[in-house]
Amino acid sequence: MQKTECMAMILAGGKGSRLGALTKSLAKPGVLFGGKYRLIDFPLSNCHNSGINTVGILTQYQPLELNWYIGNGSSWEMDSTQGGTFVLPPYMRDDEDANKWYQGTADAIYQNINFIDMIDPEYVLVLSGDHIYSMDYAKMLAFHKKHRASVTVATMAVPWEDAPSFGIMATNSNMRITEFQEKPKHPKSNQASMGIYIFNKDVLKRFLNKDAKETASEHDFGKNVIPAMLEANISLYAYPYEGYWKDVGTVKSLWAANMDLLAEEPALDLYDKNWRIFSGNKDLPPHYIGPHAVVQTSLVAEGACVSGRVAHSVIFYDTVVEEGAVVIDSVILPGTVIESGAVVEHAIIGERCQIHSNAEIKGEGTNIYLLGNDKEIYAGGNEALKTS
Amino acid sequence: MNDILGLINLRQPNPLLKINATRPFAAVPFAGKYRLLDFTLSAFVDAGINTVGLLTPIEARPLMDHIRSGKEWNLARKMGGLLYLPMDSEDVLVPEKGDIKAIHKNMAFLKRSNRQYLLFSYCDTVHNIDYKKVLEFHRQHNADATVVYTSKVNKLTKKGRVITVDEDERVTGLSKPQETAVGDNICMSAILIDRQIFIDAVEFAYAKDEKVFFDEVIGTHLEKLRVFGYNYKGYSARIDSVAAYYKASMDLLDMQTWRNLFFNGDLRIHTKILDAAPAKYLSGASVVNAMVANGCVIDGTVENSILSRQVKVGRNAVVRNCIIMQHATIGEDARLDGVICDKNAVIQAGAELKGTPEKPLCIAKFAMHD
Repeated sequence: MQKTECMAMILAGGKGSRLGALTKSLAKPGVLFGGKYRLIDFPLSNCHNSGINTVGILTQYQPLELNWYIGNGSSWEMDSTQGGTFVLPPYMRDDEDANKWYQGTADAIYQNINFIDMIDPEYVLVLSGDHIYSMDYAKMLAFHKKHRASVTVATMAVPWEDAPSFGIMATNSNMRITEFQEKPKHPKSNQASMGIYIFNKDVLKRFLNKDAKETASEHDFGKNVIPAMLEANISLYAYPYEGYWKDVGTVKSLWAANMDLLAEEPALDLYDKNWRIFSGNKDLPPHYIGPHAVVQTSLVAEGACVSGRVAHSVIFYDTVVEEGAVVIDSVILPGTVIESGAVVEHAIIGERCQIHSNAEIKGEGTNIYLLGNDKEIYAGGNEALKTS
Repeated sequence: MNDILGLINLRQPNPLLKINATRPFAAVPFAGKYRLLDFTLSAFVDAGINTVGLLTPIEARPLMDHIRSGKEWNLARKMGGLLYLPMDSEDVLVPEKGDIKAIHKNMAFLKRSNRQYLLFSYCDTVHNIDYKKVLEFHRQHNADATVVYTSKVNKLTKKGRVITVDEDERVTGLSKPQETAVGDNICMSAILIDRQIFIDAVEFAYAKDEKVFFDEVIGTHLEKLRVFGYNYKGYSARIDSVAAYYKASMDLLDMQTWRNLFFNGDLRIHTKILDAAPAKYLSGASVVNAMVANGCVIDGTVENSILSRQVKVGRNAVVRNCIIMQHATIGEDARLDGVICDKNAVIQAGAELKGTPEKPLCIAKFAMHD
């Protein structure tokens, strides 16, 4: 096997608890988005498109569906002898004291240092499995090498008023990081960390080993490891990224990210032939639009069957919108049927739901109606769990 | 189901040369994202067949580009899988009538298999047949061979092999290709046959200089061989003219037909994956009675039409009764009616193009029209 210059480690064990019913039995990177994708499609596709073929995926919370989805990585062209996707769950070891769940982002990588040693790359790219963006990591790596950095942190400009809720990187004119402020009251810059790091492997190992011994540490890259590196005067650089990037932490932000795609020219271009976002394949036919359908300003995926009215919405594969049904400002996840006369507005409807005739589901303003998977809603608002 | 070896003959005259003169018949796009071959090949693999030989035609490139390793059909295997059986120089220089010589030349593929049965098919019919049921039927009747036929013949079907069966479903007659009438039982050019019988029969026929398998091996040996007829009642469409191609396409714009073809139980039609984003409807979109593949961006009017992957329909464009193939672009204010538009064609803004269902206007691949 050829030597791997840069490998990726994707943190995919998060619960995403503010996504409520959507992550009840699914890790956040598995959350469905944009008509056919899951969040983890974005980092995995970015890796493939950036020429990174060896990817460790660290799972912890509810991994079943995510593991099934990742499979052998073939959907992202990772099923090659020159790399691959490697799902890395927490595991038992000889040393009983060390038998713990992943304690934090840094601990998750620390517990898999043997995997990194096995691949033995020069650089380790650490990513989150639940961010929506298109980014060429090869450019970031070139930046890292050009600056002879030990660590490069991708950053993006956030509105100054939002800066206090981010990890803020202050840099000199050469982009070397001079100070890191975690959720500062008085931010010194508006460049926020995106949670995307390139480490020289040796530096990463040294500091993870050190961090593991710190009992007071939360074993988190942002809170502990990066500050420790700064303190030790390691060369950290900020790589300023410009473009669409979203960490969808809440139902509202997930809904809004879906709606972002409906703009005439969205900031995230899913139609770029040179930067395809890959996803699992479903073998479904082109979707069907019925003789009385009205579909505007929407995304509709293959296998959907739309005979009603759809406006400003994202319709996933394998769904049915019957004649006389209305879907507005909503996201309809796979397997769901909206029956004739039903109205869905301002909502995210989970997988395999049945919205019966004349039922009405309406959210309003910042309050997005979220219906969990496998639910039935009847006219009058009665809700039931689907039995069949 | 691993008892069956698959063989598909893709060398057949192309009745759709008006759509594209150089693309082989089996590789003609159909139903938005598929090629005609996909229907036959998917039925083979969904029945559990994991070794399939493809007798490829002269212009093999579009086919091989589509199928490649066979991965999307689960045919990229260590053992078996997909085997291309290309033409040799003699096949190219001295074209032979019929299929017996072509099969005979590839006897090694048939002989080295240890499967009991062979499923041999052409791909001139779009269907979603469950070959597991055909095998069950074949075994129940203790047949030497089972020919698949359909009674659903429409008036567009030009020529076909008419099949007659007795009350025990044994085939009593199999005509040579002839004019057909509505209500005839028409052979779907697919046969499940004992592999050894197939090998012996083809070797014998080849020695006698016979040419056409269905006519000279099956049709004339109905007394010697136990040949049964399996009546396939699901969706099928014989594609033997541009008009038949157009009608079969338009038939899919009926929701029930769409479901019957694409969602027959667990059976799915597999095809080359493109990873295109969901279709996007912009504010100017007005779409009714249409089939739309992923990657399309629509800002105009689309009625009674099929849009393949990555088609762009500009603002105020009107597309009616059309089949638009992959990556074609319809400019703003263009008006198309009854048009079959091949891949990558560019219709300039404001262009007007018109054909009829009987004679759809065919726009060539990479053509520019204004």
